[in-house]
Amino acid sequence: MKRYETIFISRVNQPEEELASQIKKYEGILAREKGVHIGTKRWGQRRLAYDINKQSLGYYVLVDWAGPSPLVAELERNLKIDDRILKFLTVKKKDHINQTEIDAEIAALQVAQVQPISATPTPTAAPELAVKPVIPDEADAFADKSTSELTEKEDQI
Amino acid sequence: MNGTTREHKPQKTHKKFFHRRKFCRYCQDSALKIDYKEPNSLRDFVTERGKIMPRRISGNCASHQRELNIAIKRARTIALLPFAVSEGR
Repeated sequence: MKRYETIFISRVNQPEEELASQIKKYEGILAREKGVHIGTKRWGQRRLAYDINKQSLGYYVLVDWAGPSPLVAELERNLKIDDRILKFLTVKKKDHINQTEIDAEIAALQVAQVQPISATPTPTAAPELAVKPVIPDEADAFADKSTSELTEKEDQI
Repeated sequence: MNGTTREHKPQKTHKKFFHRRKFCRYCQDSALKIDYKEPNSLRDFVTERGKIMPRRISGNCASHQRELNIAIKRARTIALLPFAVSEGR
């Protein structure tokens, strides 16, 4: 087992369900080919440093996973077929990883996911709310929106 | 003859413009990590045109400069950093 992470850039003008199913699909490939999915992080919409397929914006998704090396080829083959994917990058982070380490990482990620929701939005998202009120349609959509706005804000700084 | 050379030597060092001691930022602070996913921290080591700064300017140590090189190039492939910034932009 090796430890990898894959970033892919998806087109921005997609409905939320489509994006979710897209992410699900790649997580499914990992599970099917004896890989272990560790975590998925949506960076949200970002301005690309250069245009890709005439697009200047992209939706970034980071997938952490572990698995055998042939799985990289299989995953990238699927990413290549999908024309909603603008670009992708897979990076090997560790040469060897065992099950206990994977479990520890999954646990650590879950802790990290719980903390930012309670800690970060209060100081950073509050001024944004004052400027333009975001209508919370769904809890998930709201969380996504705030994170994407955060990343964009970081870019501007 | 000897006298003139002796006078010249200190003059030369005086003529050199102000030289600040450079240090490797990543050696100084071990909490700093080089990560291609953080383009904002990499941006300090890239010129306005998007070129990677040489070690003689950034002052990084060899091993960190090597790491930084890889990180910047990875960030470029995933469009977090530009390959080149054109003049008009």
